[in-house]
Amino acid sequence: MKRGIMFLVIMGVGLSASLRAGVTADGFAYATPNPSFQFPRDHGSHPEFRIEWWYYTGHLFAASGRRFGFEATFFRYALHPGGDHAESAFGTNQLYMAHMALTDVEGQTFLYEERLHRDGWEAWAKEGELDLRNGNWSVTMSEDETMTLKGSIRGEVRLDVRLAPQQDKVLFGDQGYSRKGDAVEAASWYITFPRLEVAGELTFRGEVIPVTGQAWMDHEISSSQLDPDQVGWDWASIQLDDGRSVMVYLLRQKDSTPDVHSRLTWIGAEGILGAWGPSDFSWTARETWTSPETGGVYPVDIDLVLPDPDGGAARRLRLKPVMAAQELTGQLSGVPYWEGACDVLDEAGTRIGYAYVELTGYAGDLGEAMR
Amino acid sequence: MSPSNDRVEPVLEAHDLVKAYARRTVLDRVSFRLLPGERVALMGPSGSGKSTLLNCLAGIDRPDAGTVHLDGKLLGSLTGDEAARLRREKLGTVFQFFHLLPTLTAAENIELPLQLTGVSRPERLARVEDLLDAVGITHRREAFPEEMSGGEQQRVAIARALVHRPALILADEPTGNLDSKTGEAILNLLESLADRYGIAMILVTHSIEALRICHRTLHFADGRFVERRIPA
Amino acid sequence: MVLIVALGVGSFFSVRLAGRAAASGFDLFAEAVTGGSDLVVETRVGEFPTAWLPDFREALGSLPVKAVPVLETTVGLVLPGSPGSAMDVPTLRMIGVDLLAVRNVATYRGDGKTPAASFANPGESISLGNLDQVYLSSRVSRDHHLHRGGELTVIVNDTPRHLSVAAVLPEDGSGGSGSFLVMDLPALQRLTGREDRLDHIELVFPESLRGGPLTEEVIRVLMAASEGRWVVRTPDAERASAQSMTMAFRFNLSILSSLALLVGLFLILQALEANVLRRRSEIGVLRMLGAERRWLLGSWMAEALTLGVVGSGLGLLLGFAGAQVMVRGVAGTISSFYHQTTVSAAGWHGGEALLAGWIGVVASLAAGWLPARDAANTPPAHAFLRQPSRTGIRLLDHPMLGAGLLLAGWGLTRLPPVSFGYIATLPVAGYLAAVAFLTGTGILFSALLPVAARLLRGWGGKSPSARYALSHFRMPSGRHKLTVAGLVLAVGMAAGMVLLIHSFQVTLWGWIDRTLTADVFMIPKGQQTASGKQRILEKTWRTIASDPAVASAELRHGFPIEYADTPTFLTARTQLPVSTPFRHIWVEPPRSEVNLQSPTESGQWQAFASESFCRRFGKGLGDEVTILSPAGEKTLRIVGMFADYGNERGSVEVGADPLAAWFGDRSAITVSLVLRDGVPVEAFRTRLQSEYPGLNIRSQALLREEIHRLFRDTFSITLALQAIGVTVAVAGLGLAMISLMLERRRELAVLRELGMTRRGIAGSAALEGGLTAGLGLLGGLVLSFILGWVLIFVINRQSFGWTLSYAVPWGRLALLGAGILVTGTLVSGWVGHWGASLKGEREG
Repeated sequence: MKRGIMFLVIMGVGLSASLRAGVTADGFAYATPNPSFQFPRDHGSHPEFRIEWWYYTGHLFAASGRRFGFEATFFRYALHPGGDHAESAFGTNQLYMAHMALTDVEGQTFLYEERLHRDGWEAWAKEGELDLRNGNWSVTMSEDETMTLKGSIRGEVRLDVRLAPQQDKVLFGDQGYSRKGDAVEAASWYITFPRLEVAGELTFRGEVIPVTGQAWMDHEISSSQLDPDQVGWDWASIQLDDGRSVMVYLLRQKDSTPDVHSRLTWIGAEGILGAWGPSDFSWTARETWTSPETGGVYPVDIDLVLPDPDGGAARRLRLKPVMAAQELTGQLSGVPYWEGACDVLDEAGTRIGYAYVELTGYAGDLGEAMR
Repeated sequence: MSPSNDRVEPVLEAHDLVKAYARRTVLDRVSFRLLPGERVALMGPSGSGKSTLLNCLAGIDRPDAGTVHLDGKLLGSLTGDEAARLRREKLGTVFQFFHLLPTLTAAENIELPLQLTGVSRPERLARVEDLLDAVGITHRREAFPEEMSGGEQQRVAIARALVHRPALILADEPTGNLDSKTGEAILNLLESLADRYGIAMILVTHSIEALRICHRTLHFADGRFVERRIPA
Repeated sequence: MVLIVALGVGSFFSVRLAGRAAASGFDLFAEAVTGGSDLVVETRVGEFPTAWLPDFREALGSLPVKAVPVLETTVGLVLPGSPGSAMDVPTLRMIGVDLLAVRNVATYRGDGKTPAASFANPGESISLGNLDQVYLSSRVSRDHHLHRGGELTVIVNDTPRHLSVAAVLPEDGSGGSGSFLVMDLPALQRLTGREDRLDHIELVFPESLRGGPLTEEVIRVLMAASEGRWVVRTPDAERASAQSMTMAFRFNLSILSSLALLVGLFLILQALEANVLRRRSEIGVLRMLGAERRWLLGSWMAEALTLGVVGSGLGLLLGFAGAQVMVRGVAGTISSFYHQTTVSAAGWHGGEALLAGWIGVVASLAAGWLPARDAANTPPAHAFLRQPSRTGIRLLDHPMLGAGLLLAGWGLTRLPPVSFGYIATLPVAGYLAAVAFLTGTGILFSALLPVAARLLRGWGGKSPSARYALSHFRMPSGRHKLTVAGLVLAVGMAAGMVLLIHSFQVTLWGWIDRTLTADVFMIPKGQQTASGKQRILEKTWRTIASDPAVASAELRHGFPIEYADTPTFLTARTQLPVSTPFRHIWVEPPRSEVNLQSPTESGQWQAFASESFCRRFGKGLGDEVTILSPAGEKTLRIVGMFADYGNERGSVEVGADPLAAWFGDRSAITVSLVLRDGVPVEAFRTRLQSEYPGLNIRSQALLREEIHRLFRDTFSITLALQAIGVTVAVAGLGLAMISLMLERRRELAVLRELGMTRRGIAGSAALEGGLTAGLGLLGGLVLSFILGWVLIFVINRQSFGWTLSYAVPWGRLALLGAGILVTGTLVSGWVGHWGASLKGEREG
């Protein structure tokens, strides 16, 4: 009897979700225009979609001036459509992957850990609210949308920080509907907090360091991120000291040219200032770094030429990584990628902001994994 | 005093005995004859082969060549056990170191050869008494060898050698381990008993005193009998 | 002599190695999979409900600890191609772990050697929750020729299930040598019908934080949130407790084998004595030349030392080889009585090798001490003594000492055992008493030689050989005494063991006769051991019990619990129809009406306790015992004590209703059926066996046959030790006779000259040897009765808490005695014959 009710509830939720989503051939929901988000409900999980992630990157500063970069990502991957959430402590419906990485700028050290758990007693993403868990890593959200992130990297790092939005969340694309490819399913719902104020504690190799800083959070929901022709993407989140932010991604095709759906978006204090296509900006790497572990050749140290909505003229920004080796090797996922903290430099070489750059598809087959 | 030696069967006859140990010739064609009641002294330096000769004569050892007849029987034709039986009946031995069985009393030591020949109990006891008396140690009949003096032990040994009325006694340095006075007494005893029972004797000795009770003396050196030499 | 030392050391060493290997083959946890955990969380009794997991997760908070929940069970393995009705199937551990979670552990263990890492490489799909898929340890794959993609059938509880092999785990140095199967946790939960249960949770720390303050912090937060539900333990503590459970058994085995060494010691003593005697003139000369006592002592001790070292070295090699053979027997015994253990080979253990070798060397030195002292104290003059003087072991000249030792032995038997908590009780005083009795009887009887001789003197004998033989007993040499003592020892031990085994068999058969009265017995296939987890589910046994051919059925239920931190069992019986009376073998019967099914007014429950439980924990009738069940603490009042030889942990029996209520489980461990009159047993058995292929169904006759077999297997070790003892004793006698002949060569020559035949001398030696053997035999038999008493009423009772009945196997003892007497006499006669051909030395 109890099972019957549960089933109806889930179907009900799924039903309401599917009313606003399409259904793929496999039975998964896919992102459609006019998502009609409701918060805090849509900060939570959307299990009828195949892939979902909550993604944090940021820059931490200690009182001494010591600087760190961090990444914390929580992925959900549905194994079956239908969106049954776990009834047992050891479910077989969803996989929860998570990554955590820390860049120690002074020590030029990059530490990271990957996790892969099934849904159940120690890994979940709740529906209707933001409550994520993967082992001892967790994210929760309070009423004012302040998030608490707790994580660790093996025995060397522990992180306990609060992330408070400094400006309202941004819905990318069309009200949060973001096209990634030509196929109708190649789209996602995209919610971002571009400016989060960070405060908390970092324990680094036994030393407890109070830290403050700024962070960026992405929440994407989709069932397929890439078209068959796409091999990966280059992505950056840029936070300028003048209070504005830029989010840019380049979808790379097999022939190395950028896909037409690539986007560059400027964000101001009140929201999106404007969005541009691939023909309006250029992304060039100054050098490459070859990973000794995966063999991936990553184009790091980016020269970004982009129009400035404030005045319209083109600007050149340099996204200079604080260190070259910031790759997550994908032991458990099989998908290596580069995710690095960078300084944003103007043409004169002055630091005018902070950024995180993500390079995927340079090693392993991302396309397979994403479909 | 010397008995005649014609037409009487010898007690012991050895002919052309040869024995070698490890390429060394110990007996070199030795021949020997002993008549009943005859006492012979055998002298010679150590290592000359006296012991080996005695062993062959007693049938304990086999010569490589030659024959030995003990009481008319050819020793070489007997098995070990047959030889033992012959010895039982015909031979008595007296040793320098007495060689009494330590776990038997004097009387029991003397009785042993009779037991081996199967003599009846009353007869045995009578003879033992007889000899205890003859050698003069009746009062020590229950003593164990380790409780007796050398002289007493040798008396017991002599009694044992005679109790079965053998035809021949082999005495190997019988006084070698005794003081001169006791030794003299022993020699006298041997002489009187041998005469009384008509027993032949071969006496191996270094002592001049022993010669007096013997009818003849033989010298043995390098595996053969030699001419008498004046002792140095 | 080297061989003797080698044999003694070897048997000791092999027993130690085998015991150690078998006991440590106890794979406690899923360590083979995780590569080693830092902490273990489990309930104090029963299983860990998955409902507690959320609280558990919350308690851990953000501490960097990986948790691996584990469900364990045992299953029977039916191999492809084996006949379906096979009675005996191998038992294997089946571990259920979260296959995905366990892969994450590899990131904590930086060496990448965790077998868990092999659970599907990236890109390979893991079959999550798949009821058909199972992973094999490399041992299982090798032993049973199963590979990826292969098929196998396992008996889970009472039902066979067909599985296919997903993969074979790679070998790993740490714990990866065990035999086990792995499944995804939820799949195993469903398979065993334990959907909401776990056995325990293993915690893995990051490499860099092991052994640091994190351990205490984790324990603290977990215990704070526990509310009495769970406890946290370290793996080492658990392993130590498992080892200590078998401590008593292994200790007993070791002692028995070291006693074999003791007998060998005597032998060496004799041989070394003979040596000294033979080389007397040599020693005399050395002394004349000015050698000091100390130098002589040293050089003889050096010889003994060399003997000890060489012998021990050889013994270690022999023992290592022997252990391989022995390990199966020992492991089998431990598995049957204690816990499932898997072991293929006894590994070399430096510590044990050192111990065994050291014992061998010390024994050789001890054996060499007295002769060496003898040699050193030889006055120079003795060198030229023709007659051997009465030297020898002075010890044996003091019969009072022997009597004193016997008294001391009796006193020692009154002492309590040495206990390690309640877990292991070692009857140390009992063994010391045994040693006291051994040496005391040996000394006493050797002093009886002259008495025996005096008694026989009258008999005197017509035969000169007899007289001569008997004459030696008037003043028995040290050698005679030593030989008698050695024989007393060997015969005593051998016969004592025979007595013990016989008593055990008689007792056990009596017990079996009174308890095994049913026609048919059922148990899940593969459930052979004390720690097996397979059960016959309630619906299965109810169906069987309601079969028209069944007149009555008795079900046994039981769960492992802890009392006073010691593992024991809580059991119950169900009788169908309910009116059938219970049958127990009472050590102390209940004094009034008993009702196990309902509590008393004060909330207490009546219970029966087994004899070993009562002895172990010092309880008796009327005593209260408080145990912890999943339903909380329960107070039990002991109203009856029964005999139970099924296990040495002891058990407490309550009513079936309360047991089922407390544990939420009415499954049965065994089912016994009495059939209606006229129902043919074998036909019924065959029918049921085909209906329930997952159960092992035996008729009474079959069961008795199997128990016979188990007996033979289990006691093969002690029989071997017994044979060694006897051989050693007779060899000792032979050696002694040889020495005697050598000593007496002049006497023998004289006898030969006097005319004693070789046969006569041989007969004399035979009589002498026979008498010595006879006296030794007599003493040995007396000793065996004493030892038997000590073994049964002191050592066995203190070690295991059982009462055995004292049963003397007259027939076997007579056979043993006759054998020794005959062989002893024959050997002596043969030596005499040989001695008769020795050349006496002639002077000049």
